[in-house]
Amino acid sequence: MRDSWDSLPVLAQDLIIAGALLLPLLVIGGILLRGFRPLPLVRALMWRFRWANLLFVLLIAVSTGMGIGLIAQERGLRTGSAQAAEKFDLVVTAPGSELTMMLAAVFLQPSAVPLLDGAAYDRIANHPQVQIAAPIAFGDSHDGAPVVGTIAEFVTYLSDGQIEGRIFARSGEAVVGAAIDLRIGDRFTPAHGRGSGADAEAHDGVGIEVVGRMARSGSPWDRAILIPVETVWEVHGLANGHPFEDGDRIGPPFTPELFPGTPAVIVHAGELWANYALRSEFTVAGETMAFFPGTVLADLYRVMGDVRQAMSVMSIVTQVLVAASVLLGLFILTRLFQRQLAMLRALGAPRRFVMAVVWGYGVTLLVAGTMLGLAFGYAAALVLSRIVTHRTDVLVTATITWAEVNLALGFLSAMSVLSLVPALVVLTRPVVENLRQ
Amino acid sequence: MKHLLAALMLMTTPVLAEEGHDHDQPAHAFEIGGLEILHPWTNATDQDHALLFMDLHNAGTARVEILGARLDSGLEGRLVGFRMKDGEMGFESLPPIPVAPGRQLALEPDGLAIRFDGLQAVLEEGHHWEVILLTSAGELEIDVVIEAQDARQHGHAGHSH
Repeated sequence: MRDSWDSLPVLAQDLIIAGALLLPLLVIGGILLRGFRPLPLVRALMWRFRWANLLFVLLIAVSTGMGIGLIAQERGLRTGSAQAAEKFDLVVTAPGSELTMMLAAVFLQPSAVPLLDGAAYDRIANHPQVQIAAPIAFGDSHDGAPVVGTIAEFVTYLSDGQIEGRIFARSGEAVVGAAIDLRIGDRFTPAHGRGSGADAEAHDGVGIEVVGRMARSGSPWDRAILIPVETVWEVHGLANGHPFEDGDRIGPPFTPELFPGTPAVIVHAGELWANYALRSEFTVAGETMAFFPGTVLADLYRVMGDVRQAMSVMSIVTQVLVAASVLLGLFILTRLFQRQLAMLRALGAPRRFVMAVVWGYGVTLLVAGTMLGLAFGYAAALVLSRIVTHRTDVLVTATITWAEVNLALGFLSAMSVLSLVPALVVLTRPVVENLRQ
Repeated sequence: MKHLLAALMLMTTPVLAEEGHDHDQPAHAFEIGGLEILHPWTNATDQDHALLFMDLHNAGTARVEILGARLDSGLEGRLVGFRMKDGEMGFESLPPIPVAPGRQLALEPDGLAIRFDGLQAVLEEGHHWEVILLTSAGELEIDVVIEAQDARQHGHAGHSH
């Protein structure tokens, strides 16, 4: 049974779940409405109490939309951050907090981290399984954007070679991220530090020319300016990793004794399996720490998963409260038109027909509220995504998936079953007494 | 005086017992062709799949490849690597991984592991599980400690052997 289910395409599984969730509603509707045409009466009730009905629809829509929007946003953030880190197979740093190091090296969050020396870099760069060992150097900025020192191979790898203009070929040139407001040919002077404490005059006299622009990647590197790591060292008065006789050469190999240090080395191995072996080899107690950003994110998502569960519980509690309100509202609304319903019964309308009218009325409100709730949820996720993307530069995309649709359908179906209660209660009221009111 | 000595002995016994390392229970270290296998373990599970973890160190002079593992029943375990793809956690099958002389390799959660699919029996915490490790140096039967369902490392991790 399980194997047959697993062998189905994902879309087919989702459609079957959606169908199963809607089944109670369809069965009740089929039994109650068979042979009757209660829609004209339902329509009349909708119009007669339109403002009260509109309020109910909005109440259902807002509560459904809140739950859907939060769940969709959490998934968007998870997917976006994972995609932003996808290019970073393995990161080697000095021992410390993997999370701090990942935020600094992958998400370019400013942080004071210890440096790896030239010998450590040399050991990593010369490993036979290592294809790219990119030292990074940060701490400077331009107009709020981080200026990151690295090597040309890493820029090509990061952008998949999609660079407008060209890659930097000498010290003093830069390739900018897609979101940077500088054009090819522009020159700038980096500020020392980042944020409000940045010193704009510390590197006076240093001019860096933009020679290329990377395609958009949906990561914080879209808002970064990449320059040769040698330039970062030189503007800070450090050795540039090469002996004097090498002239203006940039990029590896570096001379270990002339290597000023790097907070992190981004490692890309030639083969997937090698990353796991390299992680073991570059994790040396007291010297270097190697980690997969994906693993750190997985730990983070586990914590987020707990938060998500808490949010789901809160969402369910909200839905239950709304369900109780809707039921109470239906009782009140049926009291409003109990005279009309009593008239129907006095005229000889079958009990099932009266039930069909009351139930159909309640379900119409629920369907309208749920559909509007899905639209609200999507709009909420869209707005939240734009805010998060703007603040973090991690491309967060809002999507409503079958998970959210099925959540809404589950709520709709459960409420449609509960809507039978006010429909049944209407029938228990004495006809004559209701007619007199 | 005798009572005082007895009381002192009683007070110190649990401490000594805690410090002692119980090697009568399943062994924690194995060796084949110079490859040392330390602390093989897995998580308790009632599912039909499990991940096998261990620390490897090649103390020999020839490189040894890790091919996978097998159970007595013939069920094969394959090497897998943890990957994050589009925000979803998952595993990818990997080819045999070599451990060069003097090198180490860690099979650990959210990293490298040997995955068994189609398990018939429940793995209960505190018990041990007999697995045959497949390497280029030969096959080796190892005792795998079954840790708690949510354990992230072997209970003896950090000890020196």
